[in-house]
Amino acid sequence: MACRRALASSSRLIQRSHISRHYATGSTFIPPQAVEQGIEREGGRGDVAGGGARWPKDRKKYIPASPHFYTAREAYYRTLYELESLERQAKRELEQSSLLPAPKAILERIRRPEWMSQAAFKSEAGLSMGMSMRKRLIAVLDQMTIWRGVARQAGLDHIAVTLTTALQFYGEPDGGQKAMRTGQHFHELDQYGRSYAHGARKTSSARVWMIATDPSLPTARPSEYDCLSGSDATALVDPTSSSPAPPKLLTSTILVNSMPLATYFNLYDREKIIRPLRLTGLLGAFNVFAIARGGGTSGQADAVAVALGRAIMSHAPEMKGVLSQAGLLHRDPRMVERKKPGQPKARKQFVWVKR
Amino acid sequence: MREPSSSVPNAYWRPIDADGFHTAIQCFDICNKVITAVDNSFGLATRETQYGEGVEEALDGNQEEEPSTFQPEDLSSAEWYHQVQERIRRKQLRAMFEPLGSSQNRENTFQAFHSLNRPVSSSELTLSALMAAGAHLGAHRSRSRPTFLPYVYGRRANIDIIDLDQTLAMFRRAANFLRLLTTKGGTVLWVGTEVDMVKRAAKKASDRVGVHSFHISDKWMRGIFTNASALIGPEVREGDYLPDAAVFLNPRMNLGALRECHGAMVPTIGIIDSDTDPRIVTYAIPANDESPRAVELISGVLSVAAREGVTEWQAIRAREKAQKARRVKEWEQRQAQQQMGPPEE
Repeated sequence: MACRRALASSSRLIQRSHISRHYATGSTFIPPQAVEQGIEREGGRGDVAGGGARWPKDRKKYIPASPHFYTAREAYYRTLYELESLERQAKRELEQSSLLPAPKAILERIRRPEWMSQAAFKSEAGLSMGMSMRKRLIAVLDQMTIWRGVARQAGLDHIAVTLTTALQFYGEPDGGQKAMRTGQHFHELDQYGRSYAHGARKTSSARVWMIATDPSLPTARPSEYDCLSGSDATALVDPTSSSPAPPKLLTSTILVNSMPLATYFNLYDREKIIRPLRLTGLLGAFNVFAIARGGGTSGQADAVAVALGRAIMSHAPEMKGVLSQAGLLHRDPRMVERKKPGQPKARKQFVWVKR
Repeated sequence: MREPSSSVPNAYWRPIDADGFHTAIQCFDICNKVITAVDNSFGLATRETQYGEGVEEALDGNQEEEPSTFQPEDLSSAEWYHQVQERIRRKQLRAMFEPLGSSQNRENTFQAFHSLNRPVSSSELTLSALMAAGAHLGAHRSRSRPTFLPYVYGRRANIDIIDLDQTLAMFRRAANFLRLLTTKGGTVLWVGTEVDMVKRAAKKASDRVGVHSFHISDKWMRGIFTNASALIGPEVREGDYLPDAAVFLNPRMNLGALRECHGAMVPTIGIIDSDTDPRIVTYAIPANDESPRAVELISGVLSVAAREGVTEWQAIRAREKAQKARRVKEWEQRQAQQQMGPPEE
């Protein structure tokens, strides 16, 4: 009540302030140098506890060498800023050569090296880092790798060499097998041609493994088949045969928590799970094994559906347009809203009583 | 890692120089068509009189080299090369036509990054510059703080408007304090946390001062002033390791740090918005702390003031050093003369 009055009065003062200025204080408030209780602390100023205005004649000042001294992470920030400046320099040179932005095909050829682990950073580089600090450092290293790849492909070897010498310490520059991560990350197929994906909805989560029913079909390993030449793609219908043979009917098995799909889920949830396969025309193409945990049936169904969409992307990345337009790659972020005090539920209010 | 395709003829794919432009004659050939068009439209003389004979030779010599029936094996490399060619051509065109048009160009027009990279001296800072940066725009009236009232000019559009007359005076006081401090060899700590533009401004300010300057961009380690040996190591015990001043670009989000500074008796400078109590820092600068331009302007000018002090300190030290060396030399000469003197007589 009192504070509201004070605010109202200050508001009135503000409204009138352009007419005649009311200054609460004549000059800027400067806190007194004297401190009543002497503060015991290392560093030499403890002996001037009472006054603070006096300065001992033999005051020894330790001026830290590094500008990052007061972060208490001097080595990490020194490394990080050095690498960031190298990265910016490389980017500037590439921009001046009109090479940026490079087309996607050029960037896709760049492999991501395996960077040092957290333990290796500590033992070899002497940098003990938390996860967020490491992520920031790795992001800079990844960006430097991209500039290095662009410079190499353009023939600018001096830039590539400078970046390589800087990056060599943190990982094998040419040792990486995986592509640089751009956007959503889809796992690659393992040695048996299986994909793995994870999906979630509300408190449910699902892990999905997918394998092609017929390994000879292009959908099993699309990266190995050249769409332009088409020589290796086996058609479902053999065009050279005289009589048109009936197309192969493919049937797939979908198991959720080791139970058939029809047993575990009702019709409505089943249709939700099948939808990614329907839209991409891959209904019989894959056998699916899913483990769903947490939540209820409908949440688990949505989780499996999202995971399925991601698994399809691992096998057939060209389906991205279809799946993302249908929203099948999007993890629904909606969660149950919390209950608030003074209300029976999250939004429901108690019945209003006049008295 | 794929190497550039070896089947692409060398003449087609030329390496690009470090200074950023093709030195290859292809550039001239591309622009040749444009130059001809310009010549024709303006009715000017032939190319020789304007550009010299070297161009003619080069252009003639280039005819054979240019591949007319080139079929790139690698689609993406060729596509990239064409993109690069196009960009260079456009740059050349711009460079060619720029001196012909308006005298206003990118160099003398305000760009967003100028407030970060091109600060002015505190004596050159004007009220209109502060206003242009939006330093007078305080917080919403619902967050208005009564202790900030002396620095409020009025209220408009539901926000408090900060009195820039006072801001300028208090800003100059803070800048003079920093300059005097660094002239005496003092150290400054720049603190800008949580917000990207504030982090950038703090780092930039610290780098600009260079000597005797520190910065914290990410996290204030609690106890860094009171318990540094536990955080950093035993080497800190020798001597007083505290900075002589701390500049906070967003003091509202660093109240704990300010408390530590106050306890350690480190004077503080801070950009105080209308929702913050100006008494939390020693030298308050009432200004908008939410606009990147305002924060960058203020931090830039403060860093220039500190840098001026550092330059002065370095000059004084150099002078003293030279004087000392001269005195030592004179003394040595006198000693030598005394030794050599008596035998001659």
